[in-house]
Amino acid sequence: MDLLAELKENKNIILSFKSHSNHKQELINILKSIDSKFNSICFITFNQTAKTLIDELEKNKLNPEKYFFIDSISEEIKSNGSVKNCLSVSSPTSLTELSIAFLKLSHQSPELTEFKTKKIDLILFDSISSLLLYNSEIKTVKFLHYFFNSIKSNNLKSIFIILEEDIQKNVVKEIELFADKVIKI
Amino acid sequence: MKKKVLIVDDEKDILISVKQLVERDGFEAKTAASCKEAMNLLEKEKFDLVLMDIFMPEQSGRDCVEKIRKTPKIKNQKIAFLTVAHLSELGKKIIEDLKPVDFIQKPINIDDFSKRMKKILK
Repeated sequence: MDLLAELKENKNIILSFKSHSNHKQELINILKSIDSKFNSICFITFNQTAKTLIDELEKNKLNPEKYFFIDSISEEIKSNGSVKNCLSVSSPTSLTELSIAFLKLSHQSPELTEFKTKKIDLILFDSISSLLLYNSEIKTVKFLHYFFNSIKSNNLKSIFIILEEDIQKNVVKEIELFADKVIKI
Repeated sequence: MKKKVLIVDDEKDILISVKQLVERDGFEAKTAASCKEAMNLLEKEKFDLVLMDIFMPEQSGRDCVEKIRKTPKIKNQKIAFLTVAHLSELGKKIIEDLKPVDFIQKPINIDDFSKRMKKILK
C-alpha cells in the first residue's frame, strides 16, 4: 500500500490496523512513511501521552518539532511532564474541547505563538477505537462527521486509525459515509 | 385519499416540526423515533414515502434502509434521506446503492422541502 499516493488522491483516510499488539509498530511505520512529505503534523492521541510519543519519535530518528499534539489522555491518567507543542484536553470524553483545540491549531490562533506554530498540513488521529472506548457510538459518529468536514473545509488531509476488530462495528459503516477511503493494513 | 409519509428520526423536535411541514403540504404524516418503530409501522401500514434520518443510535438510517430493502414486503418502499450529514464521494456511492428518491439536507429550507415533497408524491 502506497500511503502517500492514497493521501494524494484522498483527503480523509481511515486506516485499519490488524490488532492492538502491532499498533505501536504500525504507527511508527506510518510516521516514517509520511514524515518527509508533510511539514507540520497534528497528532491527536487517545492512546499514548504526548510525552511517550515524543520519546518514540526520537527513538526512531523522527523530528518531534514537526509534530503538534492534542493530548486527550495525559490529564485523564494524571500523567506528569509538560510537553511543548501540545494542547491538552481534560478528558477523552471532552470532544468539544478537542474541537476547540483543533480549531486553534488549524487557524494558527495568536495565543499559540509560544509553540511557533506552522500551518498544519496533516492530521493523524489515534485512534477511532480508543475514542469508542470513552464515548458512545452515536456521539462518536456525530463528532467524526463534524471533524471530517472541518478537516475538509480547512483543506487538510487526515489519517484516522482504527483496529480491524472494530471495523465490523456498525459505527464504521456510518463513518465511511464521510471518509474518502477505508484501507486495511 | 391523502398520500402518507413516515418520518423516522431519533430527535423528537425534528419529528414534530417535519410532521407539521408535511401536513401543511396536504399529506398525512406519521412518526417513528427509531428503525425498530419504523419497521413495525411499515409492516402494518402502507406509506407512500419514508423520510429517513441517518444519525440515529442503535440502528442508523443506512442500516434501516438496508433492512427495508431486504424485507420482501417493503423492499420497494420509496425512501428519501433527511439528514445533516455531508457525505464524501464514497458515502454518496454507498447511499446511491440504497436507491433513495432524494437526499434532503438539514437544516430544511421550507420552500425547497415543499417542492421536493410535492415532486416525489405527485
